[in-house]
Amino acid sequence: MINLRNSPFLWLALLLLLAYSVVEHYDFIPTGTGLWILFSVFILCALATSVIYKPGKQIVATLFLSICILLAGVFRHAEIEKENFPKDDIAQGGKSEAIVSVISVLKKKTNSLTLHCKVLESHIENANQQIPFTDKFILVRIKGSQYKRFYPQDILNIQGWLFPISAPKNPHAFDLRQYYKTLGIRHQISCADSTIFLHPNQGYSFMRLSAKWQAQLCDIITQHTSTDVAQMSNALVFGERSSMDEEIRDAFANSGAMHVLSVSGMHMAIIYSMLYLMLGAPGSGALPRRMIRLCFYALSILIYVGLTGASPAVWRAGLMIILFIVGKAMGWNTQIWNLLGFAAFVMLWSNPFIWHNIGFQLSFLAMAGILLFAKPIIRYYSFRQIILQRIWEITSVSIAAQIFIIPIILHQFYQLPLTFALSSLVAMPASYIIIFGALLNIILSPLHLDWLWQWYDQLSHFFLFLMKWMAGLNPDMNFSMPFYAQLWLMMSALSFACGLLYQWSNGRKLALLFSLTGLLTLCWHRTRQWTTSDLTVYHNYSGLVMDIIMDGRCISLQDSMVSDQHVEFSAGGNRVFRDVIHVDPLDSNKIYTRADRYLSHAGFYSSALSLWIWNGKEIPPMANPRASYLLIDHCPDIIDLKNYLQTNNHSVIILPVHLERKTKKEIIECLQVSEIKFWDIDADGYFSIPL
Amino acid sequence: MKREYQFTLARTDRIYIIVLVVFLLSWELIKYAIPRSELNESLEINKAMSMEKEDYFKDNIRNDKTTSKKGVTKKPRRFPSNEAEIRSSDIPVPVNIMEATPDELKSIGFDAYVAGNLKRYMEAGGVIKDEKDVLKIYGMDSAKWGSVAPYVLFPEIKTGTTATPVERTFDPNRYLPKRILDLNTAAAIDLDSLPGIGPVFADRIISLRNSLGGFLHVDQIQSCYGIPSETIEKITPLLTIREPVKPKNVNEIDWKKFYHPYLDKKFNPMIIAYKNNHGPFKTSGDFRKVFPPDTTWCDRLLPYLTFEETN
Repeated sequence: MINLRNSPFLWLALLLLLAYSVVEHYDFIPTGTGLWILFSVFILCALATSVIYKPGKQIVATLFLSICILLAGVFRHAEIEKENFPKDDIAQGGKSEAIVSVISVLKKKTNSLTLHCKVLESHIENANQQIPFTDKFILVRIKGSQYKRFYPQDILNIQGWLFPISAPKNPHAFDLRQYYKTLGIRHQISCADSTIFLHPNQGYSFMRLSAKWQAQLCDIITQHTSTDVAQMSNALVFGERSSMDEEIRDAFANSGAMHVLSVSGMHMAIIYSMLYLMLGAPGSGALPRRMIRLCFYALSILIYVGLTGASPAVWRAGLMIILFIVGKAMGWNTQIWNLLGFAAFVMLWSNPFIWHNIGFQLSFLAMAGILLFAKPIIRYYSFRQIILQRIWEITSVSIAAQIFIIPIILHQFYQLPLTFALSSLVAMPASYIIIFGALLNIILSPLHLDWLWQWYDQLSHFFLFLMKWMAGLNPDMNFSMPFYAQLWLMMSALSFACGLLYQWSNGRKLALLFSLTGLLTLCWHRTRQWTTSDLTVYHNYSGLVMDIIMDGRCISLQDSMVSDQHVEFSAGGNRVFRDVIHVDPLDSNKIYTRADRYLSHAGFYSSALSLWIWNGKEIPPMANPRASYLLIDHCPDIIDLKNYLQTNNHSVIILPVHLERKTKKEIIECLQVSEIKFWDIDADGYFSIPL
Repeated sequence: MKREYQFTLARTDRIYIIVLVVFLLSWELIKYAIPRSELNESLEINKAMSMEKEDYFKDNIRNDKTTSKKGVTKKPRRFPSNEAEIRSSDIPVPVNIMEATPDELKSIGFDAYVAGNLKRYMEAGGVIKDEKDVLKIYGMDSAKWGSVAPYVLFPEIKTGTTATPVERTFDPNRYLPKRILDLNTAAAIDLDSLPGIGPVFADRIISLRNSLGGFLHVDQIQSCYGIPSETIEKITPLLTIREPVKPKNVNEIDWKKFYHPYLDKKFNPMIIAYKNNHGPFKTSGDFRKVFPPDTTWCDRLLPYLTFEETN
């Protein structure tokens, strides 16, 4: 049972989370008099907390303590916000020269590198002035095909173009700014590899040493295995995913075993079990022996945390395990929920923006689900055969982990692989073998036992094959689940948890009610979707996307050459509200009608409306059908447009985001003078009309 | 009692928590008092910190043939990797944006759409001189420019150099014409020689001049479509008006077909009606009476008109 006495840090972490979410929602930064008032309230509440209260009144002390923690969260958030972003962000880009210190390598591709760096010194050239750049962190994108390695605390001198990270082009696109804000980044600098120089004096730190060691160990695996196996092994064992092929990543993602590639609690548990086999139980033996064993455990886990890049999920798992082992070694009573809360408290305190990180959310929610539901599900059924029982236990843990994270996954990724149970059944034991095999091979590599590497390669290939096969079993689906359905699902999981924890008889009934409500919401949404016919125009990062939806089925047209994945990434929220059956680039030579179910570059026509696209080259037809909507895709000469509008002033004009600002301003002025209706996609993010 | 127990903490625990939180908050103030590391101090002083590029790459490029620290030569890779592909792939070389083909533009990072627009713009006579000109191209924005900027060379930079961008120096005398131009008589080729003016803008200036009937003062080129204000500031000192405007006789103009940028179309029928009712215009005052509510309607047009009675 969870309560304040046995899990105070869980409650502290939840209060911090509440404080951060409120501060960010209301954009509240205490300054001046407000800050002093809050500080005074903090001091008073802290004093009130330390007073002795009579039985029956002690809840008041809890209340004062809660206020103290909330205010501490507010102060902490303001402090970090001020430290990371001292001034407003830059409105426009400019040439920049910067001295930065590398923190981590975020992405590594054939021709580019993306680094998370700390700014030591930087300025921007703007109107022949040098303006200092004050943000603490920056994203560095390096273009160049030469393979380079950067390690934490590498100090670089860079010359490039500095600009803010772009906002999403439509309301449902993935917001990179939010993602990078968790790393304290608002701006990026693009440069060529030839403009980078490395400072000869490098610092020494644990992260730098572990990154170098990670690179060496990954090299050993890469030298002795095939490319696919090397990429998978490096990701699985050391968390080195920056150079992984998308094919392998998709195989794991679509089969529902992506958590295997992200180093997290499962990997920590595997390392712990290996250490357990080698060193024995942490709590056994005399005190000196327990202390020595504790040191070995803690050192190994810390090294593994550093080797794997120290992501939030890894830190969470590492902290929990180390504290658990310390408790066992000291003979203390370790409350697992308190450990979870402590890890959350430490991570939230050190980075108030970390709660936006999807890895952080999934890691803690999965752990909470396992702690709450794994044992009841296992106990629900038992098998006499030990192998079946083990299989059932693994499946139960997988199901328990999914209960809280399904709504989050649906909200973020709009996908739910149906084979998650089966893939976890395969992936979890296989991960154990692969991690163990890789570490064993690395340790024995000086002996040049090539046959061991060959066995490892064959086994890993088979595992990859299984993952790809299971990925193929899942239909290509994006679930258009509205927000309320996600909320009902999460409420269902929470109610069930409360019912289980506090033996609340109505909890399960409430969980069932919420689940049914969620299902009904989803059914209603899908029914409504299948009766929808409309035309929606919106932007992705590369250009315009036009979706024609007829009875819920969508034909999507794009005016730029982008991969399907890129469009999904940048327009995911829009795309999942329709079943896309065909994707076509806009073709200037085709003219279609509604009967053909296609849209062309020239335009779209139905009996109810017509939409034509103005590109400055072809003038839409003046005769039947007349343009009821005119999208100004390109306007090389505004005079032509004005001449057209003089005789077609009944059209509604649609202005996309990519129009040049000056041209757009002139067009808007012209439309306002002529009193012609227009729709600016920049204002609303998209344009939609029913068909 | 049991419920209170579950939602309260012991006094000692409460004090420990408060002390912890106060310490964590205070740490932010304490850490500023700690002296900074030597590395940071050396960075503040040593800004000219570059290794030779070759040494840097030698130390950082992964090499199969390197030996380990203990002197044991590593075995060559057993399995093929994609490193061969990495090494064989083309290294983007900076290109002169005015001379590059669409494929060359794509190779340095422009997407096909923008590359095509760039070439069409240049084929139509456009000139790209700096970043601002590039940003005006349809489909281009500052984010995309940021990714290709390191590989773009502008016309004044010589091609064929190494990938290190050469520091550009602007020579203000480079594009100065040898004489001050008369705006009313200059040909397109003369206007083309002005800084910031290419064939397209030159044509626009001339068509504006023809439609006006001549420029009265140099500031009138501000109404020419598309010329940036910075360009106008640059070329204004290089222009003058020598040839005067030849005004037209207001009574000889065919007002049914007459078009002038300073005349709103709605006034044409009014002028015709006034002339039919009151006879030829004798003075500018008569002309103003065409539209009594606002007698300033023709202020800009009047310098282009004369009031002579036709015989």
